[in-house]
Amino acid sequence: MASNIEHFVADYDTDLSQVDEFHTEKEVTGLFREALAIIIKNPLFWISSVIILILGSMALFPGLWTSTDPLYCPIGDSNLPASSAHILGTTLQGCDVYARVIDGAKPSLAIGIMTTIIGTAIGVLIGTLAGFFGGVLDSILSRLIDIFYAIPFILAAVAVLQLFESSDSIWKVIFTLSIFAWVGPARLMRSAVLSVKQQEFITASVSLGATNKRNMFFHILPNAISPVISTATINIGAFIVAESTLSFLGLGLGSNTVSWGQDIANARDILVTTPSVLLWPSLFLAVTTLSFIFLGDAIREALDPKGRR
Amino acid sequence: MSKIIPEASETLLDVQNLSIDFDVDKRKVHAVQGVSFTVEAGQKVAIVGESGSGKSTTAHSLINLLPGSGHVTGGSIKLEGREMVGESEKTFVQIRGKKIGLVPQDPMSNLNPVYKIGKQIGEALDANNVDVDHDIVQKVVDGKLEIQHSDDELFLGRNARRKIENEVLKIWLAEAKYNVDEIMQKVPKESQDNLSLRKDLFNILVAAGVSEENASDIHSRIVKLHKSMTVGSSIRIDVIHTLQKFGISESKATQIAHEHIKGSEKVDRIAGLLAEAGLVHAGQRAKQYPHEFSGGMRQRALIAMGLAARPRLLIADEPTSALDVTVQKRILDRINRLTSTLGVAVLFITHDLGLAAEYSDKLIVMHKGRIVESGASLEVLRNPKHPYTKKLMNAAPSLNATRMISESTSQIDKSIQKSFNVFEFENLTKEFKLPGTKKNFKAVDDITFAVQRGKTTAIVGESGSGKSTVANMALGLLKPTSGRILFESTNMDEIMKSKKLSKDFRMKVQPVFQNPYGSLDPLYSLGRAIAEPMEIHGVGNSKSRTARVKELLELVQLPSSIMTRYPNELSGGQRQRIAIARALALNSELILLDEAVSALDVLVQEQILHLLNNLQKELGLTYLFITHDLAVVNIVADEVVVMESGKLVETGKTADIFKNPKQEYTKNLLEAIPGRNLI
Repeated sequence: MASNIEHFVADYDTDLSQVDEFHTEKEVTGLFREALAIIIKNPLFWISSVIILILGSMALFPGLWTSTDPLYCPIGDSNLPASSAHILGTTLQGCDVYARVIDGAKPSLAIGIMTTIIGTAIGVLIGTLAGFFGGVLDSILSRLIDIFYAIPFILAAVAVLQLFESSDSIWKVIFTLSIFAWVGPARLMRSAVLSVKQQEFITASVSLGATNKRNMFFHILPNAISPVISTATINIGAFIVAESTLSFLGLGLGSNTVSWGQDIANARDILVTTPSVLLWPSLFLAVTTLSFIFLGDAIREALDPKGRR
Repeated sequence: MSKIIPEASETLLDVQNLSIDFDVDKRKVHAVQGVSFTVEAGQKVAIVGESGSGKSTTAHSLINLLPGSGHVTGGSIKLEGREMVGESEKTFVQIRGKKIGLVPQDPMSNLNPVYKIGKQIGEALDANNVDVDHDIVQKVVDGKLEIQHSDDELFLGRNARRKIENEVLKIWLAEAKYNVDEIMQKVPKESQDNLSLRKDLFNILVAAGVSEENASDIHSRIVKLHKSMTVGSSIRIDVIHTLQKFGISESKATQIAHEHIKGSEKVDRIAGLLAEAGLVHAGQRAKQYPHEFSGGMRQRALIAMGLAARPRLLIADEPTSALDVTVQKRILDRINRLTSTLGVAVLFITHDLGLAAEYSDKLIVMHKGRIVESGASLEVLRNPKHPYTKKLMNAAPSLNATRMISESTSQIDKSIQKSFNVFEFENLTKEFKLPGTKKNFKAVDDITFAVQRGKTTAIVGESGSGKSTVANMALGLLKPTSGRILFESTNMDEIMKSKKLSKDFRMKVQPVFQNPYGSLDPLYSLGRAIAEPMEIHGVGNSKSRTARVKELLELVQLPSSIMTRYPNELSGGQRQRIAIARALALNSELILLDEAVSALDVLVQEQILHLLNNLQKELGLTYLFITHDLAVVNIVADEVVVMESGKLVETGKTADIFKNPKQEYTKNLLEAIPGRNLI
């Protein structure tokens, strides 16, 4: 059979360039640049970033947005509809709704961001230690994580906040939320570290003579942290909701601090007559939370290596 | 068993001017451009090419399984004269399995882990509506293919085989002048029905009054007969032939076969298919799950699946690239034999020219989406015309028989007194605890050998031979259970205990690993990656390090402008060169190459091997080369250590081992090198 097969040879014009040549004219694209290129193409990133920037300016410079004192509540102004003096109307107590919503951004953002920073820092540290060293330390830390997972959040928050009943500072809320905020990142970090630890570049670096410390902080941690970063961003929104929940229940910030959760709670009484008083703080809360979730999602998409190629 | 006689030069597959595009980032990538070839019925055709040559894309387009954005943009694919380009998915569903079978590349991911192997093969039968009673016999009637049934093509069933064996047993007893009825009465009742399957047949016969000599003779003949008949695969006509071979008269054999063989059940057919693919104890194996199978066994199951519906063409897409060489040979031999007896044409996709030539009649060489050369396999191999084919030939380690000679002439000054052996391994043993048991598993078992300075020592073995464990112990990443390792005459235990000695050791011994995609930190720029060993050991300042990195990049033939780039921008071979540069950063003495070229295309592999060889000459390096590929060993190593399941099988000079292997295992490994005897 073999004899009647024609021997075909193509023209020699085929490009036989040097084997495995590196084309220097190629654009430089590190992982970071690639992530950046992906994220700036994502409309969700831009939408959520703009909203978060606006919210940030409300928190840092409320004077830019309103000159009305949110705590100035003449009872005579109770339940006014929207007008030029009070563009979103007033509450049952006579406070300006617009001023209160603007002012509510500050504690919400502060609590959300601070809790996330503290919780993520602790979580990353614990997760890295547990994942990197394994063995007994991992067992102990993992059980600790399990225990914190098992505690019902609201119940524990009620108990802890009782201790600071007299205080009016936002730090008591940050502290209470932080007790739980580290658990998720710790778990995520532990599993990420475990998978990065298996990779050959870690073995390579060990046999180059790198110390544990170097491996842990210079190789494993940077490679394992991207899922934690995106979840942390989403968590900011979650903690803002948690703060509102506590304030709604009357456990969070005192009445001297403006808070969306508290305003939502107060608006319940006049829900039937003036629903707009409930609408505005709820809307701000929802938009803020959603923005952080979208931003986190955009970051995840950009950092996730599986999302590429 | 050859039952399908292909019509002389009937064209099964006719591909003309096929072009395939992929859409990548809104750009069109022409993966296949104007490819034309034919496959005759029963012909074995191999497509050879590097990754990215379009060989797999071409094969997948035949069954409309192009990945992602791939689509046929022009040309025609005619299967049995019928145009397939533009046909609906529904038509292809009919074609797949029945007309064209596929043995995929990766046996690990192509079986569903939650179903038993047998069930998955059963699915291949069900999906194609295959008759499990009869073998499929296709005949050309009036220019049309027709499936015809004849009673002689009924499959042998499990019970039928037992009954036939019992009958034959009785005939043999009668031939040996025994009163069969009398003896049968003395055989215990419970074993009368399955007499032929009993392991203690000899004892039973002797107890029943058969002389020891006759009993032993009959027992051994029955065992042979049992092995010659495969449930679910042998058909009536085969059984008649088999019985005749065992001395039964034609009329008697025909009578027995007609009396007992009434077709098989699905389970029998599944076992038969697995047995055809070369699995022993196929009936029991069918009841197991994929995780209980080794890679080679899984690939056999996939072959059984690919051939279940008796297709006319089998596409084998790099079916053995994930397997050991000896397993590779057995699998390909099996595919070859099976398709020959069944008259199935094969389209074999591979990157290995030697392999392609050995298992095909016709060879097609593809490069960048085009066919550069095609023709009869041996003709192309012995008389390659196109420069690209020649280049591939020269690069294929399996087709080159002598050690690479360095091009460089500069010699390192050897007057500095250093120990002759870099490493000495003495009675090295490593045991691992098997999880869930108290048993220990000896990964490395009492191994003694030395690594000479300035030479390349290769440790060869299949997966599970313990070669990587030896490597990890040599790197000081694992501690031996017993025995010792001497590095430059100093015990490794001592080295690892002392901070100064271990630091010194880490500078002198550097590894390069198999996976080019895993061994570089993706977040480190290449310059930083290469400079890392210097940074760790506090060598030089940032300026001198940068200068050294540039020097190293030049050594591995990469532009120094690459420093600011990241690993993801590089090809596998380029990354491997970076890893080598990193290993050289500290003027190391020994580089441990753990399957460092196994994942690379043949041309890139050759380039890296040349580079390593020249570096060795220039810098007086010692290599410890860990690999499963004897062909590569042949062209780079001076000394070979052959390992099998933890034990040292054979050691010696490469040339001696290749010319005159003393151990059976080494011989098998050598025979498994594809294409070795073709030139």
